[in-house]
Amino acid sequence: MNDPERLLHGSPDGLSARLLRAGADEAPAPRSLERTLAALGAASTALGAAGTAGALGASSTAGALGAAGTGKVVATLTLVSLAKWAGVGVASGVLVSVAAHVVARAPEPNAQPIAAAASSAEVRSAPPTEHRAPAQVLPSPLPEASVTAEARTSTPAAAPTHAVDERAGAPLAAEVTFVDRGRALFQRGDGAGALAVLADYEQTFPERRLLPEVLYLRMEALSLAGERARASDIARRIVRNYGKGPHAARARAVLANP
Amino acid sequence: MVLPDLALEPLSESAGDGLSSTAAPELAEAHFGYVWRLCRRLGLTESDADDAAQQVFITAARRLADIRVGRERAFLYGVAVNVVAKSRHARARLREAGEIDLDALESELPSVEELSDQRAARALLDRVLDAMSLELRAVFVLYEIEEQTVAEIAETLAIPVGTAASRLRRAREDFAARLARLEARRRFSGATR
Repeated sequence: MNDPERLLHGSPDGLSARLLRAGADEAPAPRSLERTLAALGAASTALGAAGTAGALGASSTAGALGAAGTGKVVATLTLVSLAKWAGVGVASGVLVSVAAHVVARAPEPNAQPIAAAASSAEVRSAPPTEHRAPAQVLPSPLPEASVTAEARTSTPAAAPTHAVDERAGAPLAAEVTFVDRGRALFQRGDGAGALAVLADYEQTFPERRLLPEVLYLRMEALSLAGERARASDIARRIVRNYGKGPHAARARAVLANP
Repeated sequence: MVLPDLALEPLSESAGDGLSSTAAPELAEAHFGYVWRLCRRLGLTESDADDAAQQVFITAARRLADIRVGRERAFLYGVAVNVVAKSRHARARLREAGEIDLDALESELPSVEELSDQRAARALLDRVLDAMSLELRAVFVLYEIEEQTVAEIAETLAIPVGTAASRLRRAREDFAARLARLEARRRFSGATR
């Protein structure tokens, strides 16, 4: 069966062809791809760590990388960001791969798009309001459905200062920034603070596009705090809801060694 | 069936049928434009398309093992349609809440001269596409803008080739009719200005 001739290739003066060409010629700004590559570094935080024993041990190395990376060279911002994500305990091949892509694509000599990518959250949306919870406040490791219901119907004790609905449709970059704050607290050893921030995530971002990563961080933070039972609860959620995801192997390892 | 235009550079393969765990950046590099444009033509603004495309690839990164080599676009399409639907739903909620000025969106139809401007042409294109059902719109966009073959579209949408061909025929008729109506309105409004 022959496909019909495309309207796109019709008469150049034809209205249909003109409109379709305009549509076909449209392309995303380069920084859009850069942002996505940076976000992939965040989302794939644990891809290489799945099944890697002693992931938390790796955090010191990755953390050192993050600390070393906090220089003032603008072009390294994305790498620093990615390395910070690695600080949750990941020596990730994917991470390296993403970083390599970002570096390879960095325009010379000006790395502005990279910087824009790394700081897109600041550019595109206001960072979340700081609201640290007391150290003893830990998120409840409720099953998925219970957490969902709770998040939608109850007012948390440490309620965010902004309305939940304000975040509906919020840029993904805002979620990345928010989760990144939790990771940073965790990396500084403030596990309770990290857990409090990450608990707010579910209430602040109804779309929860980074929920697997948040659960992963919470699991690791609870493990670090010696909250084995609660870490296991989170691990079970990960296995149950994201059993094929990159964090599942690590979650299974937590369950196997409570 | 392997989509021919996907075979530029074979992505890293995992031991199984899916992509390897390191293929996420390659996947984004190879198909970001396709996904972003799809999001745009399915009704998102440039800014929303940025976010949606990003979300599509994050979702894909979590499911690399499920993406069969050669079927990347079919997978990405499925994710993109869901992400776009959610984004449009969120946007609709904002409209209902009065946070988007509908009057500002309902601008005048562009003149013939203005259509030489790509942006104005895209605005008109999106206006026509927006009036089409998603079923027809998807086939139309994949064929006329992304230049996939009917067989590839059938594969992407997981429908029989005959169904894809039928949808395409109806989509082209629908598009032509809507465009003709808009053109008539534009001429009328031009004559009465």
